[in-house]
Amino acid sequence: MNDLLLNIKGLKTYFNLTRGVLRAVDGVDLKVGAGEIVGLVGESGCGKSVLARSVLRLLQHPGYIAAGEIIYEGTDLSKLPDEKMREHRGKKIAMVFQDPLGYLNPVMKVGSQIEEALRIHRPNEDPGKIIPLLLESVGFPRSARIWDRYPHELSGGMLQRVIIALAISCDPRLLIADEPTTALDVTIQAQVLRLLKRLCKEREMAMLLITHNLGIVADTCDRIYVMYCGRIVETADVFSLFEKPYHPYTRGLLEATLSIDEFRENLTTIEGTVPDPINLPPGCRFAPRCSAARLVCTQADPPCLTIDALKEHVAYCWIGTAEYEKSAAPLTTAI
Amino acid sequence: MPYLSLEGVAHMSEANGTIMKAENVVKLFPVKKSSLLAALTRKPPDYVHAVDGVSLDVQVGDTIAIVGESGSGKTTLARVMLNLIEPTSGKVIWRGKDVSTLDKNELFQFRKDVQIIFQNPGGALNPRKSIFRILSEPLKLHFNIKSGSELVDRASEALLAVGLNPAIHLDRHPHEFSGGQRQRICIARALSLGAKIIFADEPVSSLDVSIQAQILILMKKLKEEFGLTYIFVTHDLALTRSFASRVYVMYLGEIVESGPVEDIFMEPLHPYTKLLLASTPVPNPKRARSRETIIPVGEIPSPINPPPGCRFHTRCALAKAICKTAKPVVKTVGNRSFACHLVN
Repeated sequence: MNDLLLNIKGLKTYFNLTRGVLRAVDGVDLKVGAGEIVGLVGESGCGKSVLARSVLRLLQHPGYIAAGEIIYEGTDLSKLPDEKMREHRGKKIAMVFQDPLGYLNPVMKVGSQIEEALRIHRPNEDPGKIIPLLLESVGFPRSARIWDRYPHELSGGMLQRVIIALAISCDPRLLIADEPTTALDVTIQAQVLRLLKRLCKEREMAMLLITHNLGIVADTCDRIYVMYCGRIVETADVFSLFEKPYHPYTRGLLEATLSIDEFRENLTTIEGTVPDPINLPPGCRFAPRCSAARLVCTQADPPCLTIDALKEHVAYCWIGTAEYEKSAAPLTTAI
Repeated sequence: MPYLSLEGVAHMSEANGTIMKAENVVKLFPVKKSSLLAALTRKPPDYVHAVDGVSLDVQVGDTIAIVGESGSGKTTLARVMLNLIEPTSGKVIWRGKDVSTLDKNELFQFRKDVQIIFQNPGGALNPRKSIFRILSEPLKLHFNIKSGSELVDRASEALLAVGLNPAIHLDRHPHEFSGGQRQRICIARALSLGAKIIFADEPVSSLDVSIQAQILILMKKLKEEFGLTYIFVTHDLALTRSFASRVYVMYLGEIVESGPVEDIFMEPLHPYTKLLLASTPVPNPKRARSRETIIPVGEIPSPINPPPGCRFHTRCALAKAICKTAKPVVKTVGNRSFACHLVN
C-alpha cells in the first residue's frame, strides 16, 4: 500500500430504533491507500452501504456514529463540524450510487447540475470549459452535447456516466462507489467498470467499491474486505483472498458463487439466514451458520489472525487458535 | 407424499419428446401516438419489435435458458409462450396443439401444466392472504376440492417439498418471510397444481448469493423428483452455465445463437454471445486479468425501427458492409444454430 488516504478505526454506526439498537457497523477497521482500488463485499444488510455513508456522514436519523475514527489525510471526519465536512463532500471524497436517476434533478439539464458542483468547489474556473472536458473523459463525444440534455433523455448507462463525471468534477482523491453497476446490463456494466478503472489510474484517484458481486471485485479491485453482520471477517490482497480464503464465510461465499468458466454439478450454499441485526448472536456472528463452529465461537469475539503478512491477509476467526482446538466438540445449534 | 408424487408418476410415464414449441413467433406492440399527430403525419404507426420471428423447441426434462440484455424481448417471448399475450403472428404448440385454439378444458389443463415463477416473489403473493389461502385457492379452482382437510394436506405437502414447515408456516402471511422463503412459496404453488413446465423469469436475481444457491439447489432437486421442465429467462450467464442444458441467446427480439450449454460457453460463435461472455465478470482475479477483452460498443438500440440487416451490426466490432444491409440467415450445424454473416 502507498501512503494512507483513508484510515477507519473501530467505527461503530448505530441506529436507535424502537425495537432496540441496530448495530449496522460494529467496530470496523478499514484502510484505503492513495490510488488504490479497494473492494467491500457482503450480502444485503451486512452494513456495507452504511459504512460508506458514515465516511461522508450522510447518515439519516436515527443513525449516528457511536464510536471510532475516520481519518482522511490526517483529519478525523467523524469529529469535524458540519461546515468543514461540506468542504470534504464532493471535493475531496465523492460518491456514486446504485440508482443514478434518483440522484439527478429531473427538471434540470445535466450541464447545469455539474455546473452547480463546480460553482461551489471550483469558483474561479469557467464551467463552460470544464464540463465538455469532463463529459469527454467519461466517454461522451463533444458532438453529443450531453450537457444540453435532461436526465430522462439518457439511458441508465449514460446516466451513470454522467454521475461519474459529476463525481470526478472536483478532482476528488477518493471515490466511493456503492453498487455502481447493479442496475445495468452486463455489457454496460463492463463499460462502466472499465471507465472507473481508467479514471482511477489517470487521476491517481483511490476507489472504495462496494458490491455484492465477487466477479466484479475479482476483476476490478486490488484489495478486498469481506463484511458480515456489521463486521469485517476477512481482508486480503485480491489474489490471496480468492486463492486461500480462510474465514468459513468467505469460503462459503466463493463456493456459492457461480462462474461462466465452469459447470458446477453440485451447488453449495451457506445454510441458514443472516441473523436479526438487533439481536445479534454473541461471539462470532457467523457461528450459527458455520459448519466448523465450536463452543468458543459462540462465547467470545474472534481474534484477529494474520494469515499472510506480506499480502495483508487477515481473518477474524477462532479456527486454528489454541482455544479453538481445546474447545468442546462442534455445537449443534438449530439454525 | 400422495398428491404430488401421483402427478409425478403420471408424468414420468409420458414419452420423451417435444412438449412445447414456438414457431416463428412475432410480437409487435404498436407505439401510441396522439390522434392529431397521426392524422397530420399520415404515417403508419410505429411498432416495438419485441419478439421478431423466434422458433424454440422444448424437450421433456430440458432446462432451457433464454438469455439476453434487458430489452431483448426474452420476457415477452415467455409471456407469449405462457399464452398470457397473443402473438402477432406465429404459433405456440403445446402437446401438439396450438395454444390459441385450446377449448375451455384444454386451457385449464394448460394452465395447470405450465406455471411461472417471477423475479420478485413478494409481488407474486397477495399480502393480505395467509400462505394456506394462497396455496389453496388454485387447488380449489383446478381440482374442485371442497374438503378443508384435503386442502390442508395438499398445501402442507407442497410446502414440505420446498423445505418449509407447514406446522409453522401455513398460517403466516407473506411479509413474515424472507425473499428466499417467498420464492419457495411461489415454487410450492406451482408444484401443488402438478406443473410440468415451469417458466422462471429471473427467479434468483433479487436474492443474495448464498440464498440464490439454496433456491437453485431446491429447483434442481424438484426437477429430478417430479420430472419438471424448466425455462429460465435470465441475464445471468454464470447461472445458465451450471443450470441449463440448452441456451438461446436473444438480441433485439431475435435469437442470434442457440445450442447445448457446454458448446455455447466453450466455443461461442456469434459476436454477441462472445461479447456477453467477455462482459460477464469472473470470480477469479488471475483469469479476469488475463482473459480476452472485448470492448463493448454503445448500447442496445431501440426496438422501434431496429437496425436493418443484422440487428447487432451497430455494436459489432467485426461488422462488414453486408451486415448493414442483408439479414443473416440462420445456419444450423449439428445441434447448434446461429445467425451471422461472418461465421460459417
